[in-house]
Amino acid sequence: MLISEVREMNEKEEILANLIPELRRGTVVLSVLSQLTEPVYGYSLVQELSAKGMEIEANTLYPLLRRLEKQGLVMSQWETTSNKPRKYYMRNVKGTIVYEELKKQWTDIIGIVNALLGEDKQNG
Amino acid sequence: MDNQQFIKDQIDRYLYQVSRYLSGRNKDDIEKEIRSLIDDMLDARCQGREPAKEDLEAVFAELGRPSELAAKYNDSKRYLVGPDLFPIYINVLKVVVGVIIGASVISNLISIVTGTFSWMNFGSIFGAALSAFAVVTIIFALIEWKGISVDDIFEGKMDEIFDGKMKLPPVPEKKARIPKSEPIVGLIFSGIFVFLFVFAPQYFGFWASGNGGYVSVFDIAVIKSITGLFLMCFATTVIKEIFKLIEGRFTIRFMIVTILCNVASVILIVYIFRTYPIWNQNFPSQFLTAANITDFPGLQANWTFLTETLFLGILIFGTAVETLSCIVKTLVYGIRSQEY
Repeated sequence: MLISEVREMNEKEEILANLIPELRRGTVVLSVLSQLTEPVYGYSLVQELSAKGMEIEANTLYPLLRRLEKQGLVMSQWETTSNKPRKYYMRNVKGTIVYEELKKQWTDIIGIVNALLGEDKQNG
Repeated sequence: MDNQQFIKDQIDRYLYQVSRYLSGRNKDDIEKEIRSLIDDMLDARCQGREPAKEDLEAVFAELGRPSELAAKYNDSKRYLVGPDLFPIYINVLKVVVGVIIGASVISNLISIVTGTFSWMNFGSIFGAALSAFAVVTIIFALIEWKGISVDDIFEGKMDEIFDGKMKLPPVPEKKARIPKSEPIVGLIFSGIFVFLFVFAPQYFGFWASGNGGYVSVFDIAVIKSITGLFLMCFATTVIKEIFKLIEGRFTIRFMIVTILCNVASVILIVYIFRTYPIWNQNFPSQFLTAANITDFPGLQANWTFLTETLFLGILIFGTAVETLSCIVKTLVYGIRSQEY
């Protein structure tokens, strides 16, 4: 393979490495809110999401949970009865309203984007 | 130290570093939560066996550097002077500090020529530059701190204007614009003036040729004792000129800032000159001796009038003219170009 070809491939990878997280970023809040119907603690949420194919790192999720709490979308409580104290988070009413609205937006976006991508296929 | 203790100690160290970069009320709570997260992550890795040093290293690597982890919690970016203001800040700083250093180098050169140079004065270059730096930085920090609310109001207004009905304000006409050179020149002159006044008041004086000596117009000891008041005066001008630089045209906001700054500066100046014996009361007689003349018509009789009434009168008049001109220009050009 030519050096210029290798370079071009690296460049493509680099661009993708920037674009893919950007594409995913908007879906993180929606994914997290979807799982907060009952109290969960941060790390169990990381594992749960990961098991379902949504990889969110703990150092992203924990600050995100705090931000959602600050925005008044989730509530939290320390559970200290077990020997491991953990902070549990759960969606509140406002959070559920926002979540439902986001979900609707998401469905619309999927429909529109899929239609666009399908169009592309027909043309191609 | 056994292994368990070692692990606990390392976790404490990590959390301590994180907490150093955290701010706000939730600091302790965040720390506590990260501690429980590290526990959970170790458990998940070790599946029942005792965690080793390598496990902890892997967990820390996943969490990232303490400062980076903390930064993810401190979502609101906090700046002394933020990126929006920074270019203007740097420009103003260059002008003000440059002018002050320039003026102080020149004054030291003069003192070499006149034979009054001393290394003590030379050190004042540093002091002067530092004061100028502090004044400018404090003002910008205040704008940054207060700026958020000002911007919110302004942007809120813009949104209201721009409701899709072609209601954006027209580009300001030429006369309503203020060229950048104007505030920069203003800053340069007030910088030179305040420098001379505060750090080299001895240059306001009379040098007799021959060995008649030197007579100061001001009481230098008094001036030196109220440096802070003069710097406050300087600050009012710097605030006004910086605002002028940012706004770039006559607006109601700018008019209000100008009025407030000018009123504050006049009050300060009147207060300073009425409260402190700034002027050298013995100037007339010392002048006659130094100049080796017997009489200078009217000097002795009018010295009080000159220093107290006329000087303040001119200063107040000048400020009033500037304020009025700003008000008129705002009302005539500024408002018109703000219409929508």
